[in-house]
Amino acid sequence: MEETLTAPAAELPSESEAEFEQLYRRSRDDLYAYVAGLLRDRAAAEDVTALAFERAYRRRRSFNPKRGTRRAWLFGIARNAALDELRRRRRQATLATEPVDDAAIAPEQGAEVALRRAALRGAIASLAPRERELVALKFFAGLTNSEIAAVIGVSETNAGTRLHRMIEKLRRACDEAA
Amino acid sequence: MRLREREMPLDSEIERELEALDRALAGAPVDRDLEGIAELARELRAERPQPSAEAEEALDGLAAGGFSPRPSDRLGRASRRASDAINGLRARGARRLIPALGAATVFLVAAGVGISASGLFDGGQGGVAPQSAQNSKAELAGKAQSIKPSATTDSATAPSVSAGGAPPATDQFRAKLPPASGARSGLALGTVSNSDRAVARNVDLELSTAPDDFRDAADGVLDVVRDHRGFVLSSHVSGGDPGVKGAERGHASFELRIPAGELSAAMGDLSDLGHVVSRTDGTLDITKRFVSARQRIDALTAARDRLLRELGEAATIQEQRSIRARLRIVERRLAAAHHDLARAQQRVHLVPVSVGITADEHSASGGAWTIGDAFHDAGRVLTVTAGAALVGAAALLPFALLAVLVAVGWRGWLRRQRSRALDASPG
Repeated sequence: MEETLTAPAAELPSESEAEFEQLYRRSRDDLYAYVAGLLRDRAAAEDVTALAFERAYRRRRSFNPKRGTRRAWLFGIARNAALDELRRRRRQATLATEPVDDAAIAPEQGAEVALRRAALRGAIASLAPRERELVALKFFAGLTNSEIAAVIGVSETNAGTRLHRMIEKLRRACDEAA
Repeated sequence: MRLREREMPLDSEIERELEALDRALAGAPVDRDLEGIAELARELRAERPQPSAEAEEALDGLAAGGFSPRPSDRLGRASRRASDAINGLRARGARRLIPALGAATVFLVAAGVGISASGLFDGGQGGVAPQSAQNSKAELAGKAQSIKPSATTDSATAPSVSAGGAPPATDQFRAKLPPASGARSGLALGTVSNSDRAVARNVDLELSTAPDDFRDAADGVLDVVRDHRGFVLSSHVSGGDPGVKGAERGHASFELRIPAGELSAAMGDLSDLGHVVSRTDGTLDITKRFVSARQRIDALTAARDRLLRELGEAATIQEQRSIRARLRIVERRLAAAHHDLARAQQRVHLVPVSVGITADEHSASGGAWTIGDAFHDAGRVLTVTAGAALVGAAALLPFALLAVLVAVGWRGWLRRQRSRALDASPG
């Protein structure tokens, strides 16, 4: 990094810090949504999201643009942190998942909407864990297919195929529920 | 190791549906036949968990504080401190110092290893002549004693040891000497213990010096001999005259006798006079000569005493003449036996040392350090450093391979554990 001669380097935010701040602002809610979707526990999701940002900030200089986007790199760190949390829970045998928040459906939305959302939640719950992760990455976090591929460690084509297969399962499950 | 997946193009219909998903999520219109998928995408997006206001506030607080690890996260705090320190160094441009620091480290290690291996300060075997030689030369500079440049042969008389008198002996000599009453104490050749053995030593030393140092080195030999109470049996010095252009190559040879007790120190001083080309140490067990001489002395002494008694008891002149004649023979033999014993004692006590000195332009000079010497030393240092690095790499290679295997195994194990945790996560 080139430094100016007019001010000490310590007084200016470094380039990597500025980029990280931007990444944080762009990804905070998406990352939380992904982790919450994976863990299905809001309190744990908050902790894991904070931990993921801590780790990413610590390793911010190790980011390699050749290996994917910053968001994909951040979500990879978050994925590992979330899976470590799942491992820890498995060891402690406290698999307390959050119950579906029925109150989140507003009464004024009507019975049909409530039914559709309940069917959708049931369909999501019926998916395999890896497919639920795809839902979280694609629809909760809003990652592109190439970013999803980088996070879960498969090719982009493979990620697209898995995504399409998952959508088909969801549609079938929703149709059956309807 | 995961196999790299082969990139296969997606089916066009699947691609179209995936594009519809992306458009729906972006709020863009989609084809009518894909409206169902778009609706599903929008409904899924609506299921997105949102952080609570408290969670947002907590995360923003962490961000404002530079994402400091929580107090309970000891590992995180330790690694944070380490990464902060590294980042701080990077911010100060420490990375630019890495090549310089690396070069300095390599230089120091190479210099240390090179000097250690070249024997520069071990006082003798190879390398540049040490400081003691310089001092010796400085002392010699003021001395009048010199050796003629032309071929000369000097002979010095060895300290005489009378055949019948007490021979000069050091403590070491006495310790090695078989007792004078060897025959009476039952000492015989076959029964001499190792500690009573008389061992005669000899040393051949070949030195080389720079042409400019040749004369000083030759003079230095005489000083060393004098300092250690030895003597020069013969010397021969030729050539090497620094004042004569094109003079023949200097060569000197000395036959010295050094007291056995001084041999070690004297050889050290002689080795300091130049570059040691070769040194040969020899030993010879001469116990048999001692025992034989003593036995002869004892027998002849007894014979003489007996003849003296017989002479005192002889009644006739004829008898007396006969005994005296035999007595003279016995005394001559006794003197010869004493002489043999003395020579054997001298052989043990005074060690023959042959010293050869050759003036060699390629020899490391004890004087001015030239650019040629610098190249020579640099070559040696680089060679030794490369060798040390090779040996070090060979020693470290198994550990490095083990560390790589452990790291790869650990990563694989962790990946499998995380994968299992995901597969076992509740629906």
